[in-house]
Amino acid sequence: MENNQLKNQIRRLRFENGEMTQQQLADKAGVTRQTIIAIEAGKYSPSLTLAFRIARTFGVRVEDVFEYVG
Amino acid sequence: MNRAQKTVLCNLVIVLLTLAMLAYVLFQFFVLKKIPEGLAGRFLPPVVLILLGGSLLVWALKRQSPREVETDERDKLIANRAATAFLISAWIVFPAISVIPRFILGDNGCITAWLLPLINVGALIIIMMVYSIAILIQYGWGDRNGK
Repeated sequence: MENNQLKNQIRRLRFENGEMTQQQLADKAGVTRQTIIAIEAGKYSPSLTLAFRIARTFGVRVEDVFEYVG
Repeated sequence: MNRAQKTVLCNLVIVLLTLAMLAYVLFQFFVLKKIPEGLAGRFLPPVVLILLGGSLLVWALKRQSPREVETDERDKLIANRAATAFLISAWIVFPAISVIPRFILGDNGCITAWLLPLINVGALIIIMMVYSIAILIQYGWGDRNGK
């Protein structure tokens, strides 16, 4: 089965963006707070579209949020 | 806990209660050779269906803020996988319940007519249990992709 090879910087970026809450990020990205929690904990790999939406919320590139560690 | 989780938790409680009652009915019928009466007997199927309808109320009554996102791609992925588990279990359980009475009663055995809906409800309950557990596992203890 697939291993988790996607690391993310969501937690750090949230705090760098005015201590944004998970709910605020969820509202801006158009997903539920549970999904943000799952992504942040590395339990769910988001779709490419959602990854871009999250990156756009922080105003950074998608590779600044997600890192593939093969 | 979101709407889907609350609904399947309610379903799971109904399913477990029904399984206990079904085990009692089948034990009475096949082991003690008695026909149970009342809610635990021939009236169990409609009661179970009404109770399962009650879990729809949980779905309807769980309020969310209008600006809050109700479902997203992860919820849809989880629902799709649970639906697959539902279909696979239906594919296994329904043929199984048509074969098991033959093994218990023999090739020329007889079965009372009221037991047939009970057996079908039993199959439905098992499939609902698979669906509910599939949802809860994916939300709770899932791996990277919510499996």
